[in-house]
Amino acid sequence: MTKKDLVLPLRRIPPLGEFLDALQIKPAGLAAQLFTGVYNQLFVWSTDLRAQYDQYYCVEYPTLAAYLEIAHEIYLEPTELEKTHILKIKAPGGVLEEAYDDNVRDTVIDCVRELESSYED
Amino acid sequence: MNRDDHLNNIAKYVGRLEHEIRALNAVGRFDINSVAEDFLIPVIKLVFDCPDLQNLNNVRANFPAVDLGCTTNRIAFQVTTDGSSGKVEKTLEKFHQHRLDNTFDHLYVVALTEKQSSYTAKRLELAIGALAIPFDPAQHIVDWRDILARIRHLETSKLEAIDQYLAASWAKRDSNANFREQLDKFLAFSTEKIEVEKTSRKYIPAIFVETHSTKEEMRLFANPLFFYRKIQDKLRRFSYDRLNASLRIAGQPELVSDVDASLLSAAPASFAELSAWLDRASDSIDVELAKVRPLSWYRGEGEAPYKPAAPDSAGWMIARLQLEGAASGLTSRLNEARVLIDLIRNKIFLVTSMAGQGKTNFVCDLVENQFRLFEIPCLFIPARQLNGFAPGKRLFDYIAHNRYAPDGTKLHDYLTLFDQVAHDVQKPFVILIDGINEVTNLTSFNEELKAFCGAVCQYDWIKLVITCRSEFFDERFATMLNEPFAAHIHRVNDLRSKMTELSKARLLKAYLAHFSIKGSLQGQAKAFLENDLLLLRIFCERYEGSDIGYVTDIYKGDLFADYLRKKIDSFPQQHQAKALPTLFKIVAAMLAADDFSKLSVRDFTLEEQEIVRRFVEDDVILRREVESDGLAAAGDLAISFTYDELRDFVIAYRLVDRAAADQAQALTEILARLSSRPVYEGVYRYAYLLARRANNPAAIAACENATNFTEHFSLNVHLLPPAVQTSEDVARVKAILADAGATRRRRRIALFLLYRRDAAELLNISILIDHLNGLDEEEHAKFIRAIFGGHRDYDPHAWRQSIDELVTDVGKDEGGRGLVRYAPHWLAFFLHAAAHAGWLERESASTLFQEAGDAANCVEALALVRPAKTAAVQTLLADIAEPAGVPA
Repeated sequence: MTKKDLVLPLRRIPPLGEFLDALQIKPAGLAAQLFTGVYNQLFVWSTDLRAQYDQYYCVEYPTLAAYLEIAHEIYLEPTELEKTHILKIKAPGGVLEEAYDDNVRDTVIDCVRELESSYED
Repeated sequence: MNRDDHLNNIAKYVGRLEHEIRALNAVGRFDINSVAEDFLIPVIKLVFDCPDLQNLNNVRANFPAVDLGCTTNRIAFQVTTDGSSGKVEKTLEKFHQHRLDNTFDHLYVVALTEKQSSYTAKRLELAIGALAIPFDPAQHIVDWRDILARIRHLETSKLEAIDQYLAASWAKRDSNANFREQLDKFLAFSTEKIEVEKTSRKYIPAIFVETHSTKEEMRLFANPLFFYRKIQDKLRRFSYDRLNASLRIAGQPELVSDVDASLLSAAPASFAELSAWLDRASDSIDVELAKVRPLSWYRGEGEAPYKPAAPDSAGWMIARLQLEGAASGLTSRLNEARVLIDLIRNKIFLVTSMAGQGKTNFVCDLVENQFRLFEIPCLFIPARQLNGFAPGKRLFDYIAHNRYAPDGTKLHDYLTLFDQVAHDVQKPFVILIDGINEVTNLTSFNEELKAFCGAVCQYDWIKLVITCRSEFFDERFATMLNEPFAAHIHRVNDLRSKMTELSKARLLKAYLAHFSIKGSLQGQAKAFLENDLLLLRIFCERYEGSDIGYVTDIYKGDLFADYLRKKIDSFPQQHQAKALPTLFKIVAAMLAADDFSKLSVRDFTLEEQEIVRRFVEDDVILRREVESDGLAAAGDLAISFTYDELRDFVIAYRLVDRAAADQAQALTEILARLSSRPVYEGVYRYAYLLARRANNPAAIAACENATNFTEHFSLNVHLLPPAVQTSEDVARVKAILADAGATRRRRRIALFLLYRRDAAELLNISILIDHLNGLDEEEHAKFIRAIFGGHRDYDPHAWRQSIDELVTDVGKDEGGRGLVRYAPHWLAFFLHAAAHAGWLERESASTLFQEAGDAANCVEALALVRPAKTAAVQTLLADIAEPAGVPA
């Protein structure tokens, strides 16, 4: 895993509408188009490492934690390991690209975390 | 043996064959019939007197109507387990339809089980009537009873030949069956080899760093019926939705995927089904690539580039870039799927990489953690063990040299079996040959290996994994890439894996645990070992099973000396005395030849060569290099030191050793001679260090008189252990700190002192603090700037930003510990630096100390800085003493 990659352990993948709503974006506007792309990066085109582990790697690695650490160099807390989805987003681009000064990566991640917290509550 | 004996034996063997065919057909194994065709050829040849009988499917795939034929005597045979009228009728119809009467005058149907008592069906009569050759069911449909009846009339020599053939064939079959039963035991031989690699520490599972991408490739290569789904995953995520959105804006026709849904849901259960599925997937990829690639950045690679209907339209201009990006992404995805298909189809997985990148670890991990867990049959061959077998047939002999191996006279006997095993378990049979560069006489082995690869590639599901050091492959095995089988090679050129800091920490922990080393590594020691795996290995072997306590520094000179001693002590007694002199002889020869990267040991004595071989076996001190080409190099062994610093240490050790024996002049001369060579820095470093350790005045003088001594001193002072530090060293360090003209050297020494917190050592941080305290305004700013600025900084204020960042980092409240976690001297340095920070950061630093109150470390730090001459520091101290808003 590189520094640019992003890992999101989640109980639930939020629906697009809920995601846009949490970002206070109206569904039909230009921002919705832009952030649908962000949604796709995070939740559609990302790789769910837990699903991958279950489907392919559980024979070779004794635990999910071992798979994440050895194969992906991802070190998660026990509570994060219990999540239903462990999404790996390889070098997120566009408005999530950290090289751009006005990127919204932190804003989006905070929003995803809030959605997750509200779901867990 | 007389005729009756032969006849009885033949009847017994034929009875057994008939029984096995019935039994296998009963469980649906009709593939035995095609095996029987070949099996019967030598018998039918003699019984029907057709010496040139051959399997016609070998002449032409799916030869119609008949299986065996002799064009000399014009006789054909259809071999079948189905002796029904219907089957015979179909055979005759096809024979007629394909005008085989032009080639054959006689046709026999051989019923492998039992023929009917009569053949009177009308349709059969019609088929017989249509034939241009005579066919009498009573005469031309034969079963075992008929064949045995014919055998009874053969002359004794032919009876004997049939008896011998059947006896040998059944013996071979029994042996093979026995082998299949013993397969687990045969393959366990490989597991034992892995254990040997563990014992010799060429493979240490606990400290293995996985190369995930290469291992992933191997999954497709070695376990295709499980991992083909990765191709489905890629195709499943293939969609034109995003591209079509851009095409709509561009006013261009949208693309429609033709990827068949059944392709994505298919679940091939056998090699045959998988091959067919791969063909379909490959075709489907071709179809989609033809659509999308012309739109992408890869448009030059295949079809003609896409031509929009209206290239000047606003829509095309707006959407073009986005469209190309989306098309390129899709093209890449298709190409990636194609690579996975190729991986499954490839026959040879070739790993070539530099020494020390973990090739042996990689293949051993594969065997242990991938092949074993998925029950993939495999044969692991450490190539160095091939040296025990006769050149020319080393690989064959190695395979045969296993008590559970079946009797085989040629390589194909074994490969046929391996292929059968692969088909039985529906997993490739993988042969791994690790480190082909470790075989002696590489030229002859190259030919042998090529022949072996050529043989393996004739089998559908036997696969080869080969590893080799890059330079050996390029020099000695590269011709392999010109062979016809080269098209089936998948080559991995680099096994290095980039590690994150967390993984480095995990690796260090695992190393220490594996070597049962207790204690704690901190600071420089930890950083050194985490970033130098070979040094880590040397450190762990040196301190195996011991408690190292709290270690903050690694003194490499001491480490190398102790390690060599331990290694030599592990040699058999008779070689111990000669071990170090042999290393000295190697470095002397290197010095004489002025070549430090490769040395031939041809002129060494047998005992010295044996010692070299032992060092090379470990691969930590010495390793093998590619010998020169040509006849003159035959039987030679070329070596080098694995770790350059260890080589420099041995050179230095020898030079200082000789200097002690009144040969200091030699040290002076060699240092002068090497001064422009890359080895100089290392040799000088260890020579000086060893001279200081031994308190050898002549050697010390030789080093200190060398050109540019002050620079070398500043580079190597960190290696001087506390025990040998002197007041002269303190004076030298102070002189360097005071030398404003040598900025980088001054910075180097300042940073060295910054991390020397132990006051018991002569060279410690208090020298730095005292120096800073003594500087006036201008000098102080200049000094701090030299420490925090880089010589490549373009921004003249970059040094101040670095100080600001330091203050911000220190200000981060790590678990409420604040400044408590810092040593007083380090905090004193922090105050000197913070005095030059930006206004906000200076305020932060001041607040940090105010909040710390009368914490002992902070009080001591403030006391240490109080004598500072510079006003900047005194202002900061005043700020700390007078909280903001409180009048002085």
